[in-house]
Amino acid sequence: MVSDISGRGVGMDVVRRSIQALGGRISISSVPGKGSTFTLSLPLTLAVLDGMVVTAADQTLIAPLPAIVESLTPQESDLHYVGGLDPVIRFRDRFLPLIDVALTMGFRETPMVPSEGVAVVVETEGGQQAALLFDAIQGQRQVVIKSLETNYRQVEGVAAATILGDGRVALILDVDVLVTDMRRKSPRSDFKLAS
Amino acid sequence: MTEANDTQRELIAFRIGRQEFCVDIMSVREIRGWTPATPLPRSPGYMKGVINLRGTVLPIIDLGARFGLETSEPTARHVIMVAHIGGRMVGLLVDAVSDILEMNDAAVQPTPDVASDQVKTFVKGIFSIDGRMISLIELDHILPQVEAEAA
Repeated sequence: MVSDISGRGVGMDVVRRSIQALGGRISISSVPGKGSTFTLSLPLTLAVLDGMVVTAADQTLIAPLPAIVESLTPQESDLHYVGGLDPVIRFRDRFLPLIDVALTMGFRETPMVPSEGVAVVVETEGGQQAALLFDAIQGQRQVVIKSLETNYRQVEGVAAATILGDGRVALILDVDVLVTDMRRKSPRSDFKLAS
Repeated sequence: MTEANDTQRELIAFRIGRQEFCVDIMSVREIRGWTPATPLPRSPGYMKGVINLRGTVLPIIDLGARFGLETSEPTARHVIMVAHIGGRMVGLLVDAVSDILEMNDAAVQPTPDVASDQVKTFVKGIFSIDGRMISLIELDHILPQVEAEAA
């Protein structure tokens, strides 16, 4: 149906340019009276991830959705400190380590009050569960994965990066490393030392 | 005399604090203004973070901090020189870019002995131009040394 706006191939041209801008290709084959087949191909390196957009201190981070079990608001009554020091949170019938992400990553010098933030329960590839403490959850979105190693190097706790809608770079968390390898820093240790 | 001494090179001069430096212009791809960088956790102090350069994640190195100089917080008046170093694109944060120099290799003087070890790692030599002392910088070791990569 051709009207003032539709039917002039403008939309098709926009689609073709957008796909080409991503390094991909599109082709059409049509059989009159039967239909058209659009074939899209995109480069393998255009990896996409479903992520939860979170904030830790003033930093926007992406937590990979496949690693997330549940998110919850920590209640004071569910918070305990093993040996008086290491925070854990009660989740269903278990106690999970509570990891203050902003503190661990060095975005903040002091731990945050857990009940003022949000806890995201995650599970590593090895089946270990922990609760990641963030300031807030912003939402969920699909992000394009950008390599950090191409121009820099591997960074502990960071799987990759992405570019948000406003053009800023956001880091994608490596949940496995965050839960297993990164020592949770106490407020007194100096984590400004070069690695 | 060998022909090497007659080699003309184009160098781009820049300023950090009150000191002037220059690098081979062929290493510098573009020059842009400062935009706030996304910090990387547990990184050396001279690593300011990463920015988005037309879809590529570009690390930003504070060159003054890398040289061990006193530095200030970057502002919109600072400049990022996008350089090609060993196959990587890196942003070098400096105070200002000044001019393009055409210099003869013969004009390079050896680095004075007063220089600290840290400076000697990066400074290949110095030029004297109109009473200005401009240090010629070697970019190869600017990036943090990569520890032995895990197999």
